Formats: sequence, C-alpha cells, structure tokens
Amino acid sequence: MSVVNRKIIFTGPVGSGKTTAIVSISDIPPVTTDQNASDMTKKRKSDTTVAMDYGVINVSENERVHLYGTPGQERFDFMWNILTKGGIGLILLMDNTRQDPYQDLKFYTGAFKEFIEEQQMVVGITRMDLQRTPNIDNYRKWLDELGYSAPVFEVDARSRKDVSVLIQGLLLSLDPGVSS
Amino acid sequence: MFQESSQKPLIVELMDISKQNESILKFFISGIGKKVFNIATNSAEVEAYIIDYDFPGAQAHWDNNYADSKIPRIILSTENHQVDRAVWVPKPLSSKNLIAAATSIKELLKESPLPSRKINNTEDDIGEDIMPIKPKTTSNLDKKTTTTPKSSTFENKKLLAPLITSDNPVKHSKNIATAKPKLETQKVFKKNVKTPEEIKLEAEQRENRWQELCGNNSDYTASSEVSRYVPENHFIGKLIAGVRLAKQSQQIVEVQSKPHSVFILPNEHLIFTQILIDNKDFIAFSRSEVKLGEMNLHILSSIETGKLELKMSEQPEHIHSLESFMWTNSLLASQGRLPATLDIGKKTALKYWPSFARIEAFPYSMRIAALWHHSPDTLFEMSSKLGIPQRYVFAFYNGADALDLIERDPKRVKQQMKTKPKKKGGGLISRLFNRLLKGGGSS
Repeated sequence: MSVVNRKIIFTGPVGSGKTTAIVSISDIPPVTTDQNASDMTKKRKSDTTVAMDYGVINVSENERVHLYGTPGQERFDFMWNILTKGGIGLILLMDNTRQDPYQDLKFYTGAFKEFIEEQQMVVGITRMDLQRTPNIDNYRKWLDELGYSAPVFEVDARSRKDVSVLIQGLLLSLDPGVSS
Repeated sequence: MFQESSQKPLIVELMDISKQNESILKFFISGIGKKVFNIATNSAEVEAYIIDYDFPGAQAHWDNNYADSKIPRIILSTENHQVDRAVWVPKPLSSKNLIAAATSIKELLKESPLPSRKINNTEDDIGEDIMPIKPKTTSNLDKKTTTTPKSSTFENKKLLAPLITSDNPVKHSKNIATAKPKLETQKVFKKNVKTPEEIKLEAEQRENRWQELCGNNSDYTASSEVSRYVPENHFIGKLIAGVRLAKQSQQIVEVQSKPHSVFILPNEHLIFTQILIDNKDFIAFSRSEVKLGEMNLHILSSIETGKLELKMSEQPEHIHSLESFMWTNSLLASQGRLPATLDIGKKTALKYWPSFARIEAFPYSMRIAALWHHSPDTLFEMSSKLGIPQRYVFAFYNGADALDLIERDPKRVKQQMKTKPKKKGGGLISRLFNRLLKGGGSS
C-alpha cells in the first residue's frame, strides 16, 4: 500500500517558536538543525535553525503529515520555495516582542504570497505574555490592509493544545466541511 | 539583466560565510545560478568576493587585509552597506538580487578591469603582489586567533568560552551532566492513564460547563419561538460599552461594579478585576440584571492609572485576556439565547476568527467559525448546514457579538461570500483533524 504524504510549513522570524511548535505537536522526536547563531540573529536567540526543522503527525498507517520549519535567519528565499512545494498550508508564527511585528508580517506574507494564495495560512502570535502590544486586533487589521484573510490566534508554541488549535484552524480554513 | 548566453559566469570566492550558509550559496550556484556564478579554483582567477558582513568579524577581516584590493565585492547583509567597488545584496537573499549583483559587478569590471594576472599557484607568484593575501573561505572562528571587529557589537563570549575551565572543572562537569537537555529531547511520551470513573466525571463536568455556556434549549422550528435576552441589562452590556469607550479614548476604563470593579486596558487587550471568574458566583454575577445607575463607566486619571499598574504588578493572577473574559461572560449571560434586537432572518458574516487558543471552546465552535467566515448565512441555516444543535450556533453568535467580530453590512457580507475556501486535501484533512481532536484542542 502506498503512503500518502502531505506537509505543513511553519514559518516566522527568528525566535518566534517554529522549532518549539514542531516539537510540541510531532509524533516523533523532531529532527532539528539548530546551530549556534553566528550573526545578528544571535541578538535574539543563541541557537537558530539553519536548514529546517522536521516533525511528523501520523494520521493513519499509510498517511503522514510532515511538519517543516523554515530557517529563521531571513535569507535564502529560494530554499523556501523548495520547502513549500506540495504543502497544504502555512502556519506563520509572529514573535510579539520583536521591534516591528507589522514589518515581519508584511515580509513573511509577501515572501509566501503565492503559497498562501494557493493554499491557506493561519497566524499564531507568540510571546504575548511578555509583550501585549500590538494586540490581536492590530494583527487582524494589518492582515486586512495586506489583503489576507486568515485566522489569528494568540498561542504558546510550547503548548501542544495551542499548536493543535493552529493546525485545526488551518484545516478548517481549507475546508469548513471537514467532518468528524 | 545578466546576459547568460553572451557573458561568462562571474568567478567568485566566498569569504567569511558560515559553513551552513556557504552550503546553501553553493547549492544556489550549482543550480539556478550556475550560468551566473562560478566558484574560483584558485585565487588568481577571482573576479569578485562574496562576503557576509553579518558574519562576526567579516568587515574587520576585510578592512584589515583587503582594504586596498581592487577586486570588487558582493556584500551580503541585513544592513545597507554602500561602499566603493561593492554591491550590497540585502537579506533575505533572492536569486533575482544575486543575479542583479553579478550583472553590476560585471559592468564594474568592464569599466575598470582588474590588472591582468598570471595563473600560478606557487608562492613566489608575482600575482601575489597584485592580489591581496589569499582569502580563506573558512570562517574566521576557525582561526587560532580571532579578529574582533572594531565596530561590531557582536557578543562573541559564548563562542569563545571554553566548556570546562581549569579553575573549576568539577563544577562545570557537574553542570554539564545535570544540565537540562534541549527542549526537543525533553519531550516525554507518557500516557496519562485515567480510571473509567475519572473519565466519566470529566465528561460530566465538561457537559455541565457546556450547558452553563450554551444553555440546553432544544432546536426551534420557527424564529418567533427563539428565546431572547437583552445584553444591555447585564454586566456584558456594560462591559461592551466600556470596551468601546476604552478603544475610542485609548484610556483605561473602569466598569464600577460590586464587589469589585473591572478595568479595561484597550491597547494591551487585558482585563484586571479581583472578581473570581472560575466559580458559581461569577455565573450569577454575569446573569444578574443590572439596575439603573449601577455599573457606571469611568476613565482613569493618570494617578489612578499609576495605582492600577502597581496593583496589577502585585496581583498578576487577576489579569485576564480581554477576549477570553468577554467571550465567557457573554456566553454565561446569554445561555444560548439570542439578543432581543437581532433580526434572525438576516445573513451576517464572521469578520475575524476569535483567538481560539485563549477562549473557552465548546462543541463545534471552530467549525462554526470556519463556515460562518467563508459562507455568511442566517444562524438557522448555519446550524442546519453543519447539522448541529442551534444552541451552539447561538452561543457562538453571542460570543462573537461581544468581541465585535460580526459583519452586518449587507455589501460586505456579500463580498465575504465571494472568498471561497480552497477545499483541498480531501479525506486526509478530515482524518488529520480528527487525529488532532483526540489529542486535545478545540473542536
């Protein structure tokens, strides 16, 4: 019997919780490629993902959803194009403690524009416990301005439940008729 | 653009680029960029350097050793570097920008070509006089002595610090042995085994809570039969008015209630109140009718704001998410009834999804959000399309109404109807969704 493989992409700025989110939800101990950050990335996080993170959700015996985290160093966008091929959706994690979250949102939605238009995106705001502004309303309005319609959830990337909610939101956005 | 057919690739050497990034660049050069770039096999043929200025010490390395070099550079950096005989490529790098940089360098070389060089690898090569000291493609950190950039603010201490220092090796060894492993190895795949009694009790408690939030009304056949309530007669009405005032004035607003006031922080999206919210008293408080003149709204002065901030720092347990607080309060007050003024035959839309990871979910709440967002409709129709009890749709309506997430303007509702979901993934999406539900989450 052939195995059906699909994938979900986690993206966002350095330190937004991509690696942690995959760790939280994966059925296998995830493969991470975090390295000592060697440039200005280090200002935010001592380790950063240089290639990609990887995890899996085993849906059934012959169905797997692979979880990929993009490198957080904001470079090499051609790697992102390779990564998104065949993906069912994008989970954009936004670190609310960053200097300019609006610019981050603009950058990442722009970078994955085609993928978002073709598939679906859900936005998770992390670190809101440390920094309350901008608030969730701000993100909703920014997405409107940028021409995107996507669920926005405040999340803790360490919480399996929160990451599960993000993925559920993504799946229901793709098809509200998903049945249980 | 780079004339791929007529121009030879630009021969480059990678300088001060981390191994990982070097691998990715080489991957690009060997694939999409192979007609544009070539990696030099010896220093004499180098036409340009590609240097990562974000790499620790890279700029100082260049300044100290290559400042007089005539060989142009492609500078990769997140910060703008406009310097002579160099082309800055901003990060994130894109194929397009790298190709454009190669084109610019080629033009630069046409205008002021490099002195002719003899390809010779011997050390006494005359080329060594012309060429700068052979740059290393390995990182600066690989050197025994590391050049610390004069202007760099980069903190290199962690990289340079030995793992075990000679002054206290035992302590450090112990630290390493007892140090917590990285998060990815910390995950414990343990099963929380519950007894059948515990499972039954949990299910009963859940069911009771859903009744508190959504009521237990049966489905109605006619809209005239629907049980109604007046939000303005309850605390939720005052809270909604308070939030509106707080957002308009951009000030903290107090809803003066007894036994404790409720403070609304509009920018932070927070509520501060000493009212305990996880007990029966809060349910009674939410459902009781507000008498005329009770629960006035008050905008805090700067002195009062200062006092409140102090209190909040002392009592963080009384701080709540605004969205979560309003959602729960609205549901407790309405119990599956609908606002008295709502035209039940009118199609409305969900403008934005509530923040599901923070609000109190109940059965089908996320499905209602998805359907309502993509297919604006009447509440009766939504319940019918989803095949779920009306009380859950009504409860969701009340929560969304309190959070001002509903679109009522017919033009905009129509516009929202045009954005259709993608419906991709087929059965796998359903199976993944169910798999996630079993592992906890919303609904």
